[in-house]
Amino acid sequence: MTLHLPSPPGSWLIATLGVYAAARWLYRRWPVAWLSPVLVCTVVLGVLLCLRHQSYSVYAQQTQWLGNLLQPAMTAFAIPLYRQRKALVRAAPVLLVSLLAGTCTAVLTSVGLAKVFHLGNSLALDLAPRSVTTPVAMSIAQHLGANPVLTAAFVTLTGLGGSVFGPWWMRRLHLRSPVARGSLMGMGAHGIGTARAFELGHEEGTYASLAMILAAAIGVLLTPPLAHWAASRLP
Amino acid sequence: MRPWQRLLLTAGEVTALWIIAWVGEALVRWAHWPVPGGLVGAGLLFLLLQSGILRLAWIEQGADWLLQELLLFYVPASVGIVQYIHSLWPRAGALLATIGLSIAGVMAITGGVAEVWSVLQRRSQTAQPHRAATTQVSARRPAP
Repeated sequence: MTLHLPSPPGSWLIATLGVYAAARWLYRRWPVAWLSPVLVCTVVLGVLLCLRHQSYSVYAQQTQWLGNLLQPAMTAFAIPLYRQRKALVRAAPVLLVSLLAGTCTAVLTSVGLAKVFHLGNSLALDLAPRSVTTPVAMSIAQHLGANPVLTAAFVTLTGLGGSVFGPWWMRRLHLRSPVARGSLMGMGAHGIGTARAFELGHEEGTYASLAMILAAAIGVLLTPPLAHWAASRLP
Repeated sequence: MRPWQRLLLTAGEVTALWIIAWVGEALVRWAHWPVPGGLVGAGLLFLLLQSGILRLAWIEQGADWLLQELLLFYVPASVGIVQYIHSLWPRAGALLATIGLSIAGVMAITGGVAEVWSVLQRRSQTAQPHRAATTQVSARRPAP
């Protein structure tokens, strides 16, 4: 059976790059939300891993440096912040207020709903940091005593769900101002939502990137105390 | 500029961003901050640009490439879901409901607060027309 042959080193990295290139081409061809490159890549590579009976740890090891690029990518967000620094200064009050409200909602509803659906305290804590971008959420999870890998999975689900659902939801809510539409995407669906927001418009994308970065900073400070409080106090 | 020169330049700038992120990481380790190094790196880079030590033109090609391909860097972490599919499957409905409802709430609150705020701001500015210009962002677009 060819399916059980061990994969040569680096093959998962090449597979990931290949699938990503194909998914990106597909998305350019048919820009519909459920063909998002992250979703297509996750499903295709997940199925490939299962078919080849390969463990995720082998995959993770081979694609390690791709994930590591998230750190310089976060640093690169200083560039849009710097280019739009005038908009940042002008929008700082409205962004701060709406993101504080958004962060509190994210943590309290995650923990609260997890309790309503009887998911248990440990999953509730894994869910708490899910609204901020993956590397930040994983480091918050570590400080919370939650499972960073599960948190990363929930963060991705949030980003995918939010980027599909966000544009429809903002039309239903009759949100007109670019700052409201952008902060909705950046707070609700972090990096994946920010990529989607740029497709809605330049201003929306700018505000979404600002919102995503500020939400990450606010999330680092507020998530641990809020999540522990909610986990112990909520019924 | 030839394609290979552009490639080399982008690679060099990405390396520079990686070094800044790494300095951020070292700072975080040293000070025991509960923040990822990349975020502190973003703060450092912003200060370097603001103070004029670093020019935008020296770094923006690499940064634009990283942000353009941002989704690729999420793929390894999101494929990690496969490890938990079996154990989470019985609770998938409850988990998806929690995440979905929470997203709807977060988006409604965040977008709603920002919308109300900007409507109020616009009203106060139509009362003082000489300040109206400050609401526009650099890239103008026609009102919907």
